[in-house]
Amino acid sequence: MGTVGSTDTTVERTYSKHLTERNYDLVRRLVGYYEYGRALEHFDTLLEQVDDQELAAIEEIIQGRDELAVYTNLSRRFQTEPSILADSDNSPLKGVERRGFGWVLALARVELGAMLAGFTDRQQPFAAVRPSRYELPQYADLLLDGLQTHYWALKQERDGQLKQVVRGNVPIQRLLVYGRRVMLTRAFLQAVATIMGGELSPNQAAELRTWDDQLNEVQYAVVTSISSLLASQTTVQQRSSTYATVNACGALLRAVDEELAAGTATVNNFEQTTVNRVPVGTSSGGNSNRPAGAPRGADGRRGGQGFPGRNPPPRNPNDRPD
Amino acid sequence: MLSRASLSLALMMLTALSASDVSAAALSRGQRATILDQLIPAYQQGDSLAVVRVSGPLSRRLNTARVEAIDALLKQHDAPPLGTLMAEARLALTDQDGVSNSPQPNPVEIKLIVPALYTRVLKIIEWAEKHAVMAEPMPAARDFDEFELTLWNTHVLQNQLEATGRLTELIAGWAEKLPPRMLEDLDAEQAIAFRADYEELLARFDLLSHEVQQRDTEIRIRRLEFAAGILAESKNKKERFVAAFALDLDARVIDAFFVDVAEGDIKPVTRERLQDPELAGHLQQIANQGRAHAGDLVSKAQLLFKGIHWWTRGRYGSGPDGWGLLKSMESLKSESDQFSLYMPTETPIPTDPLAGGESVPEYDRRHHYTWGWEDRRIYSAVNTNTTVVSKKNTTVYSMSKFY
Repeated sequence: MGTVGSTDTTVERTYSKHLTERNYDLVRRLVGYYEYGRALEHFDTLLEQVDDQELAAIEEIIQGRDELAVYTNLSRRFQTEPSILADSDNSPLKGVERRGFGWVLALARVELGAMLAGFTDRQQPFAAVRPSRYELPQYADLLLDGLQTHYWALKQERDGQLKQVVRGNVPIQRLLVYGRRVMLTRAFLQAVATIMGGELSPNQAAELRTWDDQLNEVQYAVVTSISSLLASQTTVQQRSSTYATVNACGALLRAVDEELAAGTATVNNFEQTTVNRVPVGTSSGGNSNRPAGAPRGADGRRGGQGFPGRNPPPRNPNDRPD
Repeated sequence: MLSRASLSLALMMLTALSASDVSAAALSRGQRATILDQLIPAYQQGDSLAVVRVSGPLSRRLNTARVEAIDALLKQHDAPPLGTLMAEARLALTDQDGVSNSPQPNPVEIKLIVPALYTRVLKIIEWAEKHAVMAEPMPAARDFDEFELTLWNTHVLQNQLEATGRLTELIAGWAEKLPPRMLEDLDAEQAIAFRADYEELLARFDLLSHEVQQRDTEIRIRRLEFAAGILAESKNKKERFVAAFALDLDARVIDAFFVDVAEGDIKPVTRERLQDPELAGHLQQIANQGRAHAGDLVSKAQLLFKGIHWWTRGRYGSGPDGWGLLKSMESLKSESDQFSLYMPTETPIPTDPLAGGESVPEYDRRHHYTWGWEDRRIYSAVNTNTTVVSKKNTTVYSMSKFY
């Protein structure tokens, strides 16, 4: 007996997870991005052209229009601990209504800066919407209020959602969302430090640094979790044998050779394929939900040793492993 | 006007009514994949068009149990029930210009959507015909605030008429597509909607719209005259700012209106004041005088009020997607596509966000909410590595006789 032809190949398929590219153009879908941008185009040009009398008239017009009022002090609803950065305020929980051109300008700048921070790759997003001297105090106020809102809102979630996020126990989509949130909060913090740096007391500056350290810690945890999830991959080995066998004794083979020599035999090629699926486990980067020792193959089945010819056909390589 | 909530409810019923096989509760692997890989990401990205494209085929053969299973799966991913998803998406596409790209609703959807939207159309017509702007004589304004309010109301009315006119054309097309066998199963209310004379409805929209355009022009003529008087006499800077802006704007809008009439883009005027042959010369003269009195205040006033206009849109505007925080995907096509937003029909008065209750504007700060929008997705890639372990001659001997 003898095997007269065979080819053994091993096909190893590694399924890995990836994130789609960030599309920075999508910032234009945010309501307010285009609108506040256009508003500031007009207002900035106007500020360069008007004299004090005209500026006073503009203030009068804007202060007289209800729809242009802006409420501030919104972070108070999330504040659960004393802060040197915030004024101590024991009054009933309510916002403070502000009116004036400075508030209108400042709100547009803060909103626009936050959109750039959350949805573009600008290193210093708020620098792109830097205020004029005219509305600097209002801008600093809204910026600090924004920072405090995001920071305290995140802190309130320490024992709930954020805890799960930090541990990486949430779907990756949620991790991404929280990653953006922390990044946004840090952009606010950076802007506050830039704008108010000279006015902050040593204690206030220290508190700001503490906040930044805490946010940095959360951001690191989120990034690590995302990286672990993306690093997880499933590897599947498929062994293929292309072979042909002839059961023959030595006398028979010799007879074959004689027939070939005499020209009374023909030569054909014959092929048969069998597939062995050999799952080699799942590397998970420490975040696998699968029980240890129970690796799965590409088709999700445990084990995977099968009989040649009885396994399902190989999956489309573009299929998801899960 | 039919609310989004009631339409959502109707569509939730749609999915329940489409039950044909109550036995199969579990979702198939394909359905599950469609929901997880397509529907939920589309919802999370606030992409109404994708939601319609995915949910339409998905809803076609669903039974009650499967709808419940889908709703449970959606809930696990912080998404609303399927019916709500479909209703919101379809309505968003109807209200924006993305309708042409969206798939046609299937017959079951048509059966429920058309009557609901037909009711909405009738209510808009009734509202328009009784609107204060349509009163005779026209309401008189005594100061710029009153002029502004009247013109704003006219603008809102005109927009509603145009949008509802487009909606009516759409409904008319859908109504024709209902299969005859389903026409026999309509209840009384549904039957009215499917047998309505949509040509007659569209003609009513044209008539109303033309009348509103003329009234808008007439109000602007009055304001132009009023503003010219202020610029000639008043020393008050605030008043002069407002007058300079109003005069320049109205002069241009009125001029454009008459050009459109002359070129046939707008039907001939029917209102008496607008038919006066001396009107054009009179308006030109007072506009020129007003601009001369205003000087550079015209350009400064434009910067101020255009800036306020854009700021107000940023503050109070609402997009069709992502709970109002997002514009449609169509908006990325061009700058002009960036413009479409839902705006409040009345001048909003902001409320204290800490006071509780309904908040005006809807989002006290947009940055408090937009961080929750994630547009990125996970995808899997496969890397294939083939190794030849061994290779031998594959020739087989086939012989002519058996040994």
